[in-house]
Amino acid sequence: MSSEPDHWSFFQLPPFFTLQPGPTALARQKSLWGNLIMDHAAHYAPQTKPGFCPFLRLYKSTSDVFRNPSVNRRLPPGAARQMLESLVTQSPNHCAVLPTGGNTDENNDENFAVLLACNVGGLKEIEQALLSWILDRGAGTTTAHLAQKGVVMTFDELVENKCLTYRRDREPFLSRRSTAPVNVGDVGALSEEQAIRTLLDCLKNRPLSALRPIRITLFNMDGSERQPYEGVKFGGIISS
Amino acid sequence: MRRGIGVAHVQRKNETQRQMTDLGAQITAERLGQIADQLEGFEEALRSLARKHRDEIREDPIIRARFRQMADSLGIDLISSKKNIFAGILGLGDFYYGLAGKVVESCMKERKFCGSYVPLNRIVHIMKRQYGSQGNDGSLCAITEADICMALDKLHVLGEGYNVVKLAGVSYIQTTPDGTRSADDAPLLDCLLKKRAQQISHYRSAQVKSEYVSNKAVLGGVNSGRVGVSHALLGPALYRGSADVETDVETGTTDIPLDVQCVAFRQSELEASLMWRSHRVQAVLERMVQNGSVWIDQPSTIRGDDTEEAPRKSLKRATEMQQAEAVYWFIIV
Repeated sequence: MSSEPDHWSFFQLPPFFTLQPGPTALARQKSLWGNLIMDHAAHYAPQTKPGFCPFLRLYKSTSDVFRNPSVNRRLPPGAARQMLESLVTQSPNHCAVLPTGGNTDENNDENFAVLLACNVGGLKEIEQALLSWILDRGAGTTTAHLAQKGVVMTFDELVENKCLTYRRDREPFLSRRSTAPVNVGDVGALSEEQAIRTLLDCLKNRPLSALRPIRITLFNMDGSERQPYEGVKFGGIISS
Repeated sequence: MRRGIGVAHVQRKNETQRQMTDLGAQITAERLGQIADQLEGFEEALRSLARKHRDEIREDPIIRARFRQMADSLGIDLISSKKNIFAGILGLGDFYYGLAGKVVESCMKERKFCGSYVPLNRIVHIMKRQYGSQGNDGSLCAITEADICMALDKLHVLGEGYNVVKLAGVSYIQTTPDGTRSADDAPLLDCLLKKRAQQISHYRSAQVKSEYVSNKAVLGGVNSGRVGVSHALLGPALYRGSADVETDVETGTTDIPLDVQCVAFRQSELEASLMWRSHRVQAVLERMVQNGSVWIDQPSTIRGDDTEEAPRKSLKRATEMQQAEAVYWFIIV
């Protein structure tokens, strides 16, 4: 009884996968799930396969991180959404909510997703790298200038030039919060292009963003609304 | 001439009364003097006793127990106050008041079972470690359960809290007030801890058995010429296994997985084992759910994997039946 059981011990308990009605237990459950997800990301970040983004992961409310086959339990999407929202509150510099496309209200819980940055500097460092890369590409000399003038790029440009790792090649990953083995597979990994798209989607709504003065617009060449979009515009005045 | 007539009588009465008062005061003063002399002698004797045996009193629990017995038989409260002659000269007051403070600190740091219960032997172990490191000349100051109970008794003057209760044959310190509403907790916890002890013992037996099997497998390769050696090696394993099983369940639970330490009940099971009405069980469970001691396991309906119709129906029916009654998990830690 003397040692605090960690989140992976609770992962073996069936009630961990039920949304707790008691406020004390619910608070503890949210904290434990937050630790578990951060620990899962920190565990798999150094093992990322080539072609995938090592420091950005996407956790959906239907992710397999919320499932434990050994106890035949899965956290329902509604409960998983609450855990993810709590995680964003716990770690605002490392987690951001991915806005849902469309206004469909039904299945809203199942569409909920959170982007998690498992580098030490978090989303702030990534945004700073992106901004530095854009400015150094000759898009402008200051943030204000970029916000005024704007620049248009395709996603291929962004991926090929590794805009998210500009000047931060050796930034370390988050360290693990526990030494227990991780019994969940590698879920939530994103390809480089998916990572950039997801990040830009999150940054459009993230209030803490370092890119806040710069408007981010995703568009298609033919002006349609078909997704995935073909290009991105940083800054500039919207022509209406 | 009648007796008592005139001023002389009144004066005589006053004189007599004054003489009696003086005599009474004199007698009282003599008695006080005697008592003061006796008290000085007693203090002197206690100081002499303290000079010889102070360290023994601090270090030897048996001497402290004898002191307590003697004090009880004489009707003396050894540590009613630090100004108490026993508490002051013999150092018992400082000892027990300091012990009470340390016990409360340890209880606050220790993780509590179901919100308020700390195993008493756990606190004894912590106190032994703390006091042992303070012994002079390397001598150990042993703390016993009785010492801690004595210290906790004195805390009651501060109000409710810090009682010692027995659950499933094991003593626990209850760190929160024991109101009438929570009087139902004790029998429920008793039932709970018995089941937990069974789970842990079962887990340990399984571990010992697997070790035995693996030992046998390893030694299976030994040729027949070394059968005696095999037998000698297996003996200690068996002995250690049995010793482990018989060990108090409360000690050394750090290597037990969390799911073995936690206990699950359905409400109907509690009603059957406690022989309570359902609303009584519900009230206790509701309170424990609110304070975070109990977590509820109610698996949601699994979304139908697109398989055959019949298995899905049976699965749904099983899930519905399961949903009819939640499982209450007592989170021990």
